[in-house]
Amino acid sequence: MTVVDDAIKKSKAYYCLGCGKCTAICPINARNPGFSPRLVVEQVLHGEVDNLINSGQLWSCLTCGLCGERCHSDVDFPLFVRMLRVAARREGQIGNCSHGGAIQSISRIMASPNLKQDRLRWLDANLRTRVDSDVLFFVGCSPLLDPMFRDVGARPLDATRNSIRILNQLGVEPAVLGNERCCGHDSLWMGDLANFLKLAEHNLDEIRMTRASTLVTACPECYHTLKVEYPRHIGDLGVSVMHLAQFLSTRLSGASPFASNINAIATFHDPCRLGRFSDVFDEPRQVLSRIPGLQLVEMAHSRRRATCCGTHAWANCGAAAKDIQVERLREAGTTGADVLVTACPKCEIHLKCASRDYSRDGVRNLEVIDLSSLLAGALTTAMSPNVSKDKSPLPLGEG
Amino acid sequence: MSDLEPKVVAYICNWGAYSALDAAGVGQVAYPIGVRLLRLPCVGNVNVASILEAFQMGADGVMLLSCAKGRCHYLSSEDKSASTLAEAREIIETLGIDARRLRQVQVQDADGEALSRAIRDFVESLRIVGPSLLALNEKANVAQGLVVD
Repeated sequence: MTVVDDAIKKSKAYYCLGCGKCTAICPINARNPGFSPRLVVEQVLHGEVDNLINSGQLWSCLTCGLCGERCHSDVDFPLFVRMLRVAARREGQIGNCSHGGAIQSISRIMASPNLKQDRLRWLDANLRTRVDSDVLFFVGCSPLLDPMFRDVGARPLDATRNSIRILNQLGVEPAVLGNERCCGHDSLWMGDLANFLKLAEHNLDEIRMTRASTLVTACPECYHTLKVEYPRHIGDLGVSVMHLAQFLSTRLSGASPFASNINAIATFHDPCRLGRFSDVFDEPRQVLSRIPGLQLVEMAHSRRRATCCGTHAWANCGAAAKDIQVERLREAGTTGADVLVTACPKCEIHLKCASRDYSRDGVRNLEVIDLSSLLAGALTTAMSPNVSKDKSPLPLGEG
Repeated sequence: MSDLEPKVVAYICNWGAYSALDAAGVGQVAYPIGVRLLRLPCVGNVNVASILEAFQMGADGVMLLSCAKGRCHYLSSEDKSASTLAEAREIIETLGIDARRLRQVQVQDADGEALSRAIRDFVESLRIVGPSLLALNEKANVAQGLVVD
């Protein structure tokens, strides 16, 4: 099987020494000892790919990359798993899709060429955008995820609106795409390469039609996919791709637009795709440090050692995922923080879901909030009439 | 079957609505041939994913054929399907799928005529909306062997 050979070669799995440090640190192995990154590599190197595919274990991996932090041989285990999933898919193994596969269906629908989306209905008169802007804001899936996760108190569109509010405050009126597609992150990581390529090509065409030289996104998965995977699979986008935190950190050198005091203790949860995958650790913290009154504390597992939010690509949300999330919330609670800030809408959804389900299970009452929503709450009302509805010091709760 | 015949995935409740389908069968009341009826214990349990998957696979329309108002065998499906429908509508409209492609009809027990009329009405409205273009993508994927599900 050439796909398997390719996976071994590209991930450098042949360097594996079998030391098992990956397994020792794997958050899934700690809860489901049947899954071991070391044994997955061993099975494939020993030619037992069919057994591995049939065992369904490929779908247990969170692809969080924590194993790579300990690997002496620099094996890219997430890439290894991702490439093997392409092989598994060809054998009819598509993994477990949480939410009944709804989000996978949404991605597949967006891969269709004949789609005329109505995806900018959330734009209101207070948000300023410009078609010929130098900065393109890549919205991502928030207009589609928003209706799905209101029941857990997550409002991904709020983070999107707040991102644009902050950009407006900095004098940037970004362009937004009316027919943007899913970035394809989930399709790619679930082994659905065909639809990933279609989505990527649609987006490439859309992005090239703009006059933007910088693309900003508030989603680490979009960020990593656009910045690293698009050039790898389909070619150069012709724009500089930045996460919102990076963009803000470059623009906040002058007077800070954050003037509202937020008297709270915050801790930052590093999303895998932004942190370990893209080495963006300092920028979100720099931006947070500009908020007056906000005290930033670190969790024991932060930066390169950060724990995953428990699930990826909407797969395998089960007991292990919940346990990882609850442990993360407890860890955040022990720092004394009032707010757990993340820079990923999906981490926000997953952690909010867990805090809702398990709030009576020893998890300290802790507000999970997206970076952009926290920042928007700190904009002065005088300077920004857009946030006048945020009356509380923290833009907490729904709405 | 003609390609112009709208393809409809219709989730039908085992209790009231299915008794209407039974009555339609006994009474030899016809309904359009492009309708795939999927019998479920309760239409209240149809989730957003089942609706989206039907569209993804190229359905021109999706119908929820549930029991008459106040006649739910499990008492609570009306609220559940109302919130599922609201969520699904918001998602499909964002995706550019005409909201007229999704319809719920509450069917009186054993009323075959009403069931057939409801399906015919829906199919006629789908002829006005036109064929779903999503089917093309799935067909292309399958033809190229790119998708194995």
